[in-house]
Amino acid sequence: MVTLAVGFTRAASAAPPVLPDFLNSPIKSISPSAAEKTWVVSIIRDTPFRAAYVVHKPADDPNADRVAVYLIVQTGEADLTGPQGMLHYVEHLAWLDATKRSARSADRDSNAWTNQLSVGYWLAGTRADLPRMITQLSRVFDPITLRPSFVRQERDILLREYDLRIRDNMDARVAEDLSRAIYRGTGYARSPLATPLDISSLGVDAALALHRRTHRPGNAVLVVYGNVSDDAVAAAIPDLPKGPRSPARRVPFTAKLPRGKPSDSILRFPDPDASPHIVWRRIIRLDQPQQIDLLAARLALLRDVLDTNLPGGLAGPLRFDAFIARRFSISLSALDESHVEMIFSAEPDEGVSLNRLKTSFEAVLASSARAGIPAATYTRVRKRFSDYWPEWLDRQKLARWMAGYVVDAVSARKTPLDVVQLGKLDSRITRDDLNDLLRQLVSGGRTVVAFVGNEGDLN
Amino acid sequence: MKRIFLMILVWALIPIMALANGRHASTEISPGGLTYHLLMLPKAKQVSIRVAWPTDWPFRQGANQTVPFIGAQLVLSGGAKGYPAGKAIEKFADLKAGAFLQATIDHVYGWLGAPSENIDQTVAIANAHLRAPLLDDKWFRRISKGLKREFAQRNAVPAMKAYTAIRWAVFGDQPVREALSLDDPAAFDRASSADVARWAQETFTRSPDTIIVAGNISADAAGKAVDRLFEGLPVGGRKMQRDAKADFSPRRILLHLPGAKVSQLVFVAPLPPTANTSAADGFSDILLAMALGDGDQSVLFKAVRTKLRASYAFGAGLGAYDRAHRFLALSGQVATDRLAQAEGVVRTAYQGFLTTPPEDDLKARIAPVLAGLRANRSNPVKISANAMLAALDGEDPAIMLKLADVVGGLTTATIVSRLKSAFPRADGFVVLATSPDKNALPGACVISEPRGAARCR
Repeated sequence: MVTLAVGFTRAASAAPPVLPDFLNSPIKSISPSAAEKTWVVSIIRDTPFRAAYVVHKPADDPNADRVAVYLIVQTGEADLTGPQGMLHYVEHLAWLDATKRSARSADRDSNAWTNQLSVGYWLAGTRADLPRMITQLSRVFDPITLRPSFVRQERDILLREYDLRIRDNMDARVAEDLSRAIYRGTGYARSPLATPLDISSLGVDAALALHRRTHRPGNAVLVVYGNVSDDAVAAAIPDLPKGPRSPARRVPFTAKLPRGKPSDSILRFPDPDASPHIVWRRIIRLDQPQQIDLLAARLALLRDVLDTNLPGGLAGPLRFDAFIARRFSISLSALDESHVEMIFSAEPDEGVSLNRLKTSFEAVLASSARAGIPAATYTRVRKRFSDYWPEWLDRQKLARWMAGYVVDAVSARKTPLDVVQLGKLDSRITRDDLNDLLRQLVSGGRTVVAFVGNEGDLN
Repeated sequence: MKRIFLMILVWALIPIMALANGRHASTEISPGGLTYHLLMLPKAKQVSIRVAWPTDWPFRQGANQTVPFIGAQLVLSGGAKGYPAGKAIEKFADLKAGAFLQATIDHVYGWLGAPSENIDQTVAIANAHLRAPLLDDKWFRRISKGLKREFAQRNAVPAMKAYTAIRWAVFGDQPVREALSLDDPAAFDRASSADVARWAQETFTRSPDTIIVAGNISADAAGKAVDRLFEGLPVGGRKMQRDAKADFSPRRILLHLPGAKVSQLVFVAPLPPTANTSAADGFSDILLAMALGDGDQSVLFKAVRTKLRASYAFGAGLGAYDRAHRFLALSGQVATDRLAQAEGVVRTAYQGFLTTPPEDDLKARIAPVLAGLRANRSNPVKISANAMLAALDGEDPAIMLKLADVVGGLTTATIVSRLKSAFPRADGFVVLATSPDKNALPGACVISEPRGAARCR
């Protein structure tokens, strides 16, 4: 399985281990001592892993007997050179090898994924099964002993996965091509799913070597979500070699992005059966970096504002007051502390060309940025925003939210904030912050747009 | 586990009773005389109201089958008296409310959800849209033209063509087939806003088949909300004329798609309708389908991917064309040069499943299902959805509060018994493949368009 994850559309990312000086705030990175005092998440020390987190499910949770275990290898496609898809191949082989030697009971859910920054494996089962689950997951570190013919055949399975996810799926092909274009010059432009040509060229020896290099306990993080004690988790960790445990390094986003007028390129995807639409993507570099969870929250609120039919939103001028976009969607995400990506997907109304849809959207966005978000709109949308955060006082829901947050943060090679730190972020979001982000969104960056539809729709 | 809730279609009759944690169910009559089922969930913060309005439009010869789909969107999005298009959406966002209308073959389903304190305002807005939708021509054209393009794109995907062809095989040219596929783009052009008005008038009445209210809400408040929701709607009560004949007789068909880049293999066979299935048997069906084709430990995955190495994944699922026609589907993309081999492997694996069911595996799969049920024990959205389906089958919606007991009471013996009595024989499937190679399935009836499947006998 592959997931494509670069940015974070919710508070699913976290600060690096040591926050830079720019953040003059009470927020500090999580530390073992602080975490250990917080009931929701704790850190197990002195394990073979780079880090080990336990997210504590309350005893009164209706599923207190169920435990989920994640093992996340902190190397991703963006780190690599050579043919794309090699890490995805390694993920398949490692997981098949880990599961073939101990038949897994069907009461355990499981899966694995590869994205630009990590490879993940997870199992879910009963609390009594915790030691066996951690042991089974840890087998992904063992040397791969699958039959050579089976290993070679697995490339055909990768081709079948490509067929399923990409080949007959126009939207997926558009997304792959746009990512290549918008992230060009960076590791993020690489596709974990790769192309059939890449997949056919994947070498078995190279895959085994990459497995040895990346699948080490010192390069992996363990996350356990369950009603289990730290001692129980520590006791369940098998003896594993304790290699070097350097801190996770995030792949830097180094694209050179212009200031001033955004650069603009259009990719055309002719398809006689496609419903005409555009996918517009822009990356900008911020004037000043921002703590990434805070940035993600500000972007989520700005997205909500732009999505409305209120003054300052896009739905009025594009959808309700004028018939330009039949429907649209917006996403805003933080690639890192300094880079933001906006995606606008829209289908034109009858008689509206894709080009007119694009220019109308850009004009409306620029107009909203110039005028700023009206106070009344901001106040109204801000009241709706509480759903972005977990229910802080509901222990079951909070633990569930934190489990997802920690897994997402670790997958993005970040150190998660703790509950107290996260709880302080909301008060640090203002209308000025949003207007500043909106201004920067129209003041530079790299833009790539896909026009999809009949040949006649594409000009 | 979300899938579980989508697949559940029927439940046994279990008496209404007070239940643990203050959850309880009752059948109530609103002050305005409407009967509804109330599922009291003290821990829920939201209230969900679901309504199932009966329809026979998709069974009607000559009716434009695009109209219910256009209508469901137009009524929701196109504005209503007092609520110009675009206003209600912001009001709903303020209220943290949500709503949808879904047109299916035998019912139009409506859902409303909002925090308990906002439910009165939410139903008032919904009532305006049901009672006095604007049905503006410009909005009608926006929605009909958009749906035309959407369905054209969807129906062009090879995997969708396989299911379109199966519907031709099962239903021939009966109207219900067209309603399920919407594969005639010109039908969208022939529809009019007057058609939608007629459809809305005959559909949204004070005579639904079922009303469910779930959440932390008193019978008094729920009754008032129900009355407000139905205020001013016509009485209805017309007898439905639903007549469709399904032919699931076994056939082997290959839809030749020269331009396709991949091959698809689908097996479809009937299962008993939900109205004849107890809750325990309904869950047994789910567990059996999971053991057959859900995840890397399942029978079909092991057969087609792990052993034959012909597919990334081959799965099994439960589906329904309408409430009378339920089916088991086995499907997956396979390598074109292994299509014929895969057909044999799937059939053999399924036969093995019938004769020697994986009893340990079936038993082990109960725990994750139970976990899903427990996680949603106070979720009014999911509980109300299943309660509505139960009620439509003539069952008591109270069973939604006892599902963990039902599933906990399953044994390997009862699950296997269900397999033996209700699941199709290995030679009882319609087999349909799509492939760029017209010789990929020797002996199959080869067609070049989905409608050709109707002629394969």
